[in-house]
Amino acid sequence: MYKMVKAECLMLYGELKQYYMNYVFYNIGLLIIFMGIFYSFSDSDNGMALGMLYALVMWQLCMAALSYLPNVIQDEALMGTLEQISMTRTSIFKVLISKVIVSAIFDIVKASVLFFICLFLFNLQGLILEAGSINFLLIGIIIATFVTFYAFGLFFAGVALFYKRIHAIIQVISYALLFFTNITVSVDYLPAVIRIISNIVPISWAVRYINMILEGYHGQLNEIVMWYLVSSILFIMVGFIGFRVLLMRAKKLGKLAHY
Amino acid sequence: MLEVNRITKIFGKGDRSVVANKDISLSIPKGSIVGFLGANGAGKTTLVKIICNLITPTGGNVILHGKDVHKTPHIAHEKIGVMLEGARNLYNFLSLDENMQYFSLLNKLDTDNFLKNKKYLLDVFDLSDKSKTVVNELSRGMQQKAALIIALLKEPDLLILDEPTLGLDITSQITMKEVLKNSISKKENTLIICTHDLSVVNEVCEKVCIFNKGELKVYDSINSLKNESAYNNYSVVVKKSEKIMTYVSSQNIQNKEEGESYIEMNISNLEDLLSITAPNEIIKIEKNINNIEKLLTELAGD
Repeated sequence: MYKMVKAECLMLYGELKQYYMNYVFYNIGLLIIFMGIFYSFSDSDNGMALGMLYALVMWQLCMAALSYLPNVIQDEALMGTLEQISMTRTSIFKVLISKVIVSAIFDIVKASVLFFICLFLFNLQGLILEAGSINFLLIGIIIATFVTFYAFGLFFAGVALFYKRIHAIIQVISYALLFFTNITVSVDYLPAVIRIISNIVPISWAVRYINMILEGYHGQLNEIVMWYLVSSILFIMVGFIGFRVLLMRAKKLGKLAHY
Repeated sequence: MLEVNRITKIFGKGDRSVVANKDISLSIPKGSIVGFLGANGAGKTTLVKIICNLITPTGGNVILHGKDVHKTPHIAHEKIGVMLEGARNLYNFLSLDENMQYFSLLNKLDTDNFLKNKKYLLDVFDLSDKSKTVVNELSRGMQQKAALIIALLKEPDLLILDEPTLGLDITSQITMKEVLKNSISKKENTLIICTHDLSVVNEVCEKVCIFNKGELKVYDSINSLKNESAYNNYSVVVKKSEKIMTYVSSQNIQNKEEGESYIEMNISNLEDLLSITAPNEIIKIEKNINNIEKLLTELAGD
């Protein structure tokens, strides 16, 4: 595994050298989105502002995770390298896992930088110090949700074997998750259909979990944790099973390359 | 070593279905160099991808080292190296060196051996000074050579190359043929070359598979094909005689007079001529074996 992670670090380094400006502007764009949403939706009088910042960072990480594997598969299928990595002595699953490990570390570093910039920009330093060790629990929830979305991304990675423009679908999902998962507005105020769909998504439960911890209210915590775990396991299963089924189908149809 | 048993591949269903491979069976022993020939759409690449477990066949199986590659896919990953459509095997935003390192790590190559082979192959293919160049900035031919280097670095038991000479200049083509012959003969590996370049088949391959519309039409050694009577003829110079002239005109054989006493002609049936000619009347008999390309082209329907 060490060698594969080393290989992916090499790949990321090569990619950064070529496309570093894309990364810079992408993160500036994110900062602008965060500022816009924070000033539009947050109630800065209470600890919920900190909850919103954590939720926004979680959303950004989950979106990066969700789009990562579909983009990898889409790009590799177009370049023709997907067939090549499928033919190496390392299984395709192991290659994807090592890609995810390197990408996750890189994403967490980027998100941490963004988090601290926003922390000072929104003047939330006091609240984070007040929260103390609770912050570690919140970071744990964010990372667990982040990993769940990498796994769920496998499903769309499988879809990317058949549809070349999977990015457009991911974009729609990312907006839906931002506005319909308790991050900006409470799901309770949304129409019933959206509320039902939203309650299947782990982010909705993770945001409830984060807010309840910050509010110091533990009444429904067990129920929220249970639903958070159930929805996360469901998403992980959909990701793995979906990818496996779609990969087998792609092999039948000869769709491992799009060139 | 490699057994392809009754492979059939049908893409699509009903009226729109396409038969890419139809009941193909062949056996390739260890250490062989086999050329896959056929027109575009003849089914060569589909068969190669089925052998590599990149496509699941509709029927039949592929046995490598006694194991079914579709039931035990790791056997294909472990033992097969493939270069599919050359320039599409590389990450174009990485340098050549980074590409080689990346695939060496994924292929779990021994570091010392990798460095030694890398240096040798870069020197042979004249790419040593380009190793730090991003693949995107290399010419088409250089990308092809780079892809070939990466395929060779894996040192697989079975190496499959799809159009290896595409985009290469003449010198590089000669080098490539030499490297392929040497690397295979040294290591007793097996090589399959899909190509339209008949010189590669003629100069490198021992056997040839000729595909046409998804079917395997011919699987034979090059030498055996060269002995096919229909494609062999002899250049003959004989003394003029009444018997000979009667024979020539009855068989409608084109001939050319060599001075007043001799005639030159090309014939395919040597036995008939020998039966009517005394040995001292024969000046020259020369076998023409240079029309293998015509034979291959006709069989492949190219």
